[in-house]
Amino acid sequence: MSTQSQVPSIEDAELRSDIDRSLRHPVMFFFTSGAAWLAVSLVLGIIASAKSHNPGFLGESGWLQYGLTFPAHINTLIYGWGAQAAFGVMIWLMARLCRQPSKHAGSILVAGHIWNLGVAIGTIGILAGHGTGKHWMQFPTFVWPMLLAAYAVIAIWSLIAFRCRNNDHTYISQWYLLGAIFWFPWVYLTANLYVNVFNIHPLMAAAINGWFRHALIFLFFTPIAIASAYYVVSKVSGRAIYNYSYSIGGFWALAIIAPWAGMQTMMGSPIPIFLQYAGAAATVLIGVPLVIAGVNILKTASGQQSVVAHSPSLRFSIAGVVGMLLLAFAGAVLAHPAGLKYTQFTLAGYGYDMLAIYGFFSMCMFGAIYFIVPRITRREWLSRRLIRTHFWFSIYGVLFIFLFCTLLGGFQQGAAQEDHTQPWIQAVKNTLPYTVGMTVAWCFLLYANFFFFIHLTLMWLRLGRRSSHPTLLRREHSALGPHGPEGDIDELEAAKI
Amino acid sequence: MTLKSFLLGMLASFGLAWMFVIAIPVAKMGNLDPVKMTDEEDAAYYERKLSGRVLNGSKIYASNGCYACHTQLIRPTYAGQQIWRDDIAGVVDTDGNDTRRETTYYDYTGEEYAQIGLMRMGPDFSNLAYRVDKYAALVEMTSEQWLMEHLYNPRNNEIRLGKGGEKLDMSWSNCPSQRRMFEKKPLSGQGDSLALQETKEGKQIVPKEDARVLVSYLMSLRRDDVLPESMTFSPKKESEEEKK
Repeated sequence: MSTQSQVPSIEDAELRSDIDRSLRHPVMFFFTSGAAWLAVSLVLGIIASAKSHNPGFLGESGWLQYGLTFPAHINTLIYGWGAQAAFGVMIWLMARLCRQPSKHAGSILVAGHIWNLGVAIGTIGILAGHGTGKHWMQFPTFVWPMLLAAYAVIAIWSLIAFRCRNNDHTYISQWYLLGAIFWFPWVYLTANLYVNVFNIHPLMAAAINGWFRHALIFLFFTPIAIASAYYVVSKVSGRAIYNYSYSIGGFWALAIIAPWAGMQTMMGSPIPIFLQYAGAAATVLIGVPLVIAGVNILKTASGQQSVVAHSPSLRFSIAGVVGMLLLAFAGAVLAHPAGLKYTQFTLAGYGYDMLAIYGFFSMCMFGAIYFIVPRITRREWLSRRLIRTHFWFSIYGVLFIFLFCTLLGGFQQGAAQEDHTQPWIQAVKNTLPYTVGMTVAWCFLLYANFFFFIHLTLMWLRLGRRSSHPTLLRREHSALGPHGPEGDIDELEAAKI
Repeated sequence: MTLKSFLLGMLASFGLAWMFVIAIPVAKMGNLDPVKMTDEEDAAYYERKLSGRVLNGSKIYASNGCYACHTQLIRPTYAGQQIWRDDIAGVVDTDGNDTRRETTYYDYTGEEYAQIGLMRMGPDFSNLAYRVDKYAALVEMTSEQWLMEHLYNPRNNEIRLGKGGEKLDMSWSNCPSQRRMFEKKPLSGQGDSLALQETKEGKQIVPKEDARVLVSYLMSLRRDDVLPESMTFSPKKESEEEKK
């Protein structure tokens, strides 16, 4: 392994540790508060899911009814966890790849607090019965300008870092990050202006909402996850990207196809038919850029099974890439008009979103977090067992959601709805096992992420291991390995000087 | 690739889709020509008539998340078969009247946002008011009263068909109860006409404003008006055409 990686110069190492130190607080703030929101979202998800098959759960009255907890669960997942994990990875990766320490950690941190405040107010607003009722946009309408302003302050510094970058070569991850930086405000502003501000036809407002959900997945979460996977995989495996021109091609394929996706959620409604089928076609075709990126990344890591087994970052990233390939497959099956007939109004839509957000995006983010946090805190992860628990329970949970609840459940539920000769109660009964399955899967994910949050918080408090050896998932260290003899990281460095 | 060519590429790829998927369709849908009832020159224009507190009620409907389980869309048969389902797309009565039809773009008039819905955990609401009328008539209540009882306790099995007769079995419902929209009030005079049957400690359970507005909106969900010929896609029309 040591023969594959370049030996970095001392200036290089110093620059990298400067960059890491400059961004320690904002990045750790985004990751830790994101993980806390993820835990909140999973608790709300369990409550909502349990109530969908057992409405008496936690009492009949009040604030925790399905219609309030379900939107709160989705919105905390998207804006509390997803966006914040993306911000943390985005600012760190951009700074590293542009070889520029950040001078604006303070303003990013302030903006991060405003973002969190917005998410908190929005979530309370939803639970208090002031949601807007527009899927993924349920926060009361005064929250979105707040989030957009906070985003502008966070993202502008990454843009400036890119403009003033200190190296000639632009790595593929930078193009993906740059794409996400531009797409997010464009998508978010378009959706909120058209749906919340302008007075447009109610059906077009609903159609734009469907477009917004897909654009957010494919034009914000997807590019950030792919950027992170390209970086982590080639960094940890110590190899160049398998085919660099394919990676650029994949980026442009995503840019061209993704903005058309989404309005198939309105299939069969009286909006122009062209929009419904263009949305379905784009959601099927999105498989092309996903497969290009996925195969390229897997090829980069191929033949490195032992590294994948050892490194938590690589293992999570590869799992995320497999999730991306599953997402490409799910898009083709669920958005194809023949399948959509059955799955349009079933659990499948929810399961598809969760596969995208958790099975693909979040797994890549976990990979990046396991890579970044030891570098910026200069402490190693405490426990390989906690990481393993996090990994396996995430895999079990999300595979169960996708295979059982989404594919099997979606079609079972849809087939029962389509069978118009049977009374409606039949459709309700057919759905029951899958809603129970959802609850079980959320419990798995909560178990995984509760420990992840604790682990991350301990790392933020700098209670990680003071070792020069990274925490690997298997214990096979030798003094001859690339990390040298094990010892206290600070003492070793003092000895060098 | 330079930043300039990158930005141009972004502008072209996203801007093109944005124009064709968002900007142009919104402009077109916001400026639809009125539709005449028939092909004749002096025919009247179609207008969707509404009753009830549609705008306020749809907001209560949205903020309480009803759309998460209930849809409001009857899809054409290329996209789904619910038009054939009993009482969902309309009603076929014993006299041969058939009000079944697909959703049109006028059906959400008066609302800000078409609540198409997400998952059909519960039945479609396009013609909810019909079904409520039917259930209420069976148990000799007004439709509004029945709906209030249902909102308060969707699994209420105490309401019996024809007073003391067989039960209207609702125990399987997984609809959440909306108890926060109700309050207890001392009984005064003849009482509230929409108060629940059940009384607690001599006090009536009375719907608050939210519940009244919501019920008014839900009772407006009845898509049975006469449509212009060019927009009628009901199965009845199709079968008549087949006969010809």
